Amino acid sequence: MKSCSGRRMGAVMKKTDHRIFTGIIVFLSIAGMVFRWTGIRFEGVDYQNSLLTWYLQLKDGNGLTALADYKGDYNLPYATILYFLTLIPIEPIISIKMVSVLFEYLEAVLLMKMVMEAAEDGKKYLYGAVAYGLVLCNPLAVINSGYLAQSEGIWAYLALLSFWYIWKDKPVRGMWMLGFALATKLQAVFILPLILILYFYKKKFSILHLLWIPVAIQALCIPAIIGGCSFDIAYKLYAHMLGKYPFMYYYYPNIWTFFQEAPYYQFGKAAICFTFGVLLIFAVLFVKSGKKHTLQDHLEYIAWTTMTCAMLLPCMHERYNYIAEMVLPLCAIKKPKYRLPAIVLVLISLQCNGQSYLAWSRCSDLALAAGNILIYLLLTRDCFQGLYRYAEEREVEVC
Amino acid sequence: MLKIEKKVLEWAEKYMYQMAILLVCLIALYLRRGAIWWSSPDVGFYFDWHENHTQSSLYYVLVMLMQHLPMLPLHSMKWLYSLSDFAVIFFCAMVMNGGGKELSLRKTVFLIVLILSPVTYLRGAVWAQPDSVAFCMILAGYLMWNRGWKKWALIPAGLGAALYPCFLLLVLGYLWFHGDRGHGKTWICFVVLLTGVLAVQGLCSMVTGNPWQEGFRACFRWMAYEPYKGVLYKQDGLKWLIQMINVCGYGAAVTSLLLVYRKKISYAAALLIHLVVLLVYGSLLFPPAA
Repeated sequence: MKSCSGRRMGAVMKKTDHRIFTGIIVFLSIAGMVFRWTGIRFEGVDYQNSLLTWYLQLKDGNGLTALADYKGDYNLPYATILYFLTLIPIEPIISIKMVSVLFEYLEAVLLMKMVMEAAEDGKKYLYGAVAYGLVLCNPLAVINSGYLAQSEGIWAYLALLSFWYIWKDKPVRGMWMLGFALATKLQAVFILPLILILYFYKKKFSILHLLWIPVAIQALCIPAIIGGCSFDIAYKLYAHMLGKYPFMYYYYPNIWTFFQEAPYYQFGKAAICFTFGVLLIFAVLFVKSGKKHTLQDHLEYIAWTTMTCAMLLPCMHERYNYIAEMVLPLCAIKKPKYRLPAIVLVLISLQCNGQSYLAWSRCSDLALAAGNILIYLLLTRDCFQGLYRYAEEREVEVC
Repeated sequence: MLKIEKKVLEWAEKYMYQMAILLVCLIALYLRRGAIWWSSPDVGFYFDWHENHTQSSLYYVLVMLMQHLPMLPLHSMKWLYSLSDFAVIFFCAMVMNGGGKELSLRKTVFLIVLILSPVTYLRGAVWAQPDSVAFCMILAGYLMWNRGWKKWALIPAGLGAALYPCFLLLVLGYLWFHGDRGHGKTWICFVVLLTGVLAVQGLCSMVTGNPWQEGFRACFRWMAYEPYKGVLYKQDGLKWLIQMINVCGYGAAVTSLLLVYRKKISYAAALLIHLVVLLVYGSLLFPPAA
């Protein structure tokens, strides 16, 4: 009798929790939209010089053939979205921003889902709501989509979704999503190291699944190909973009801020090789640790791998560490030691975005880079130390 | 997943350490191959001889000898230093073998870090400085010393210190902090080594057509003279400090890795040393545009 009433109480509590949770989510969703709406009329440099120009060119063109004349440096799938937006009778500044906003909502839901799955039962709703709020109301996300009309939310969502599917052992969907993410922006490749490590570690899907990636990229290019673009248009644009900005440092304060004058043609490759080396050490530790990695661990690994790419690769824009800036605050929900680094990371990127696009007064790039490097080292130490300890203990056991 | 794919992955996991080291060795070689063709426009004093030059006399003899190779002199020197980087890695692996012959996780991680260390890459292949040649000789001496071949150990260690005299500090530091410091024989060995270094320097100085005393002086000039023009550092303490970090940086960085491996210093200390040395190298090789 007692256990029955207890069960009923539990069910009532759960229902109440769920109602409160839904209420908070609705409130946060409205707040997120209000924040974004405050900047909806703001026209950033990129919007004026690039997005609007491309939009108008696509609008003036003759249907899909306008895509063949597209001269922008964003990938064709994004240009295709722009083309479809020209068909909607909404002002471009709103329609372009709303696409990014929509994907940010999807991203917030996805990350909330991940955090809820990683949390213990009792705190599931609390952590979920906090995660949703942290992503949706993250000032970087608000500025990125609501003010600057940038598309980081799109590729970040697709890249994270790809990881999520692979984590759930649904590799075909995962690869399609990764293909979509890469088709939208090449920066989505920052998630690839973790996916390859998972392939090696889990041994649950075949390397042949990777072939879905070009298929997905090609699928998104179909409208452009129908419009008259060549069959390999997606890859041509990648090749074009890779050599477009030959600078080691390109606005994101990372390790190369200290070596700005190093020539790209020589040290660009060196930077890529060092990044590969660091990721390789991580892969060795990951595989040899034999640890049963939890989803919470994976969130930290996502933050670390994407940040590794942003910190060590050359020519990084101030927006390219977007995934880490969204995910690290989520890691801090359960691990209080990440709270300060997460806040500082977001503030540093906010300053970078502010001084580049919103005419904020400039800070020393070297100071910002030093801050970022400190956070990166802290994150590296935490990720590596845990894995290293596990791997060494395992080795001793084997011996 | 295909059966064969699974087998390949299992095989790769089994030999993961070896494959990782091989892979990074190939990458390191590839990186050096590219760097051979690059020179910093702001650092052009590779072979310059002036009144107060800071390189040792043995170094100039080495440069003379390398000019007989059918390659551009700078390229041949850079290749020598790059190959010496790999010799350093080999000797470091031998030093690490003190903890067992098998390739453990610890050893693999340290070797990868060492092979891809930006400090060694910048110093040798990019900057054409002879630290790696001297350091691999010092390491060879260290290995021989620890195996009990103390007299023979003096030859490579002496040549290393003669080629790059600031490594005398490294030898002195080792003898001082090592358990043997109470033994008189150890210090006799050091005196013999010092004498040998000076003798080699004097001889090399004469080979290059200079008085033998010049070789002695060149041994210690790095402590007080600016390398470009040979001006004495008088009151600019910061410039002197930067130069000292520049000169001792390679040895400090590689030694710090070995010390971390031996659990004598913390990871943070080694990382800090690497970062400081890198910042100094970066500021000298890629100075900010005026």
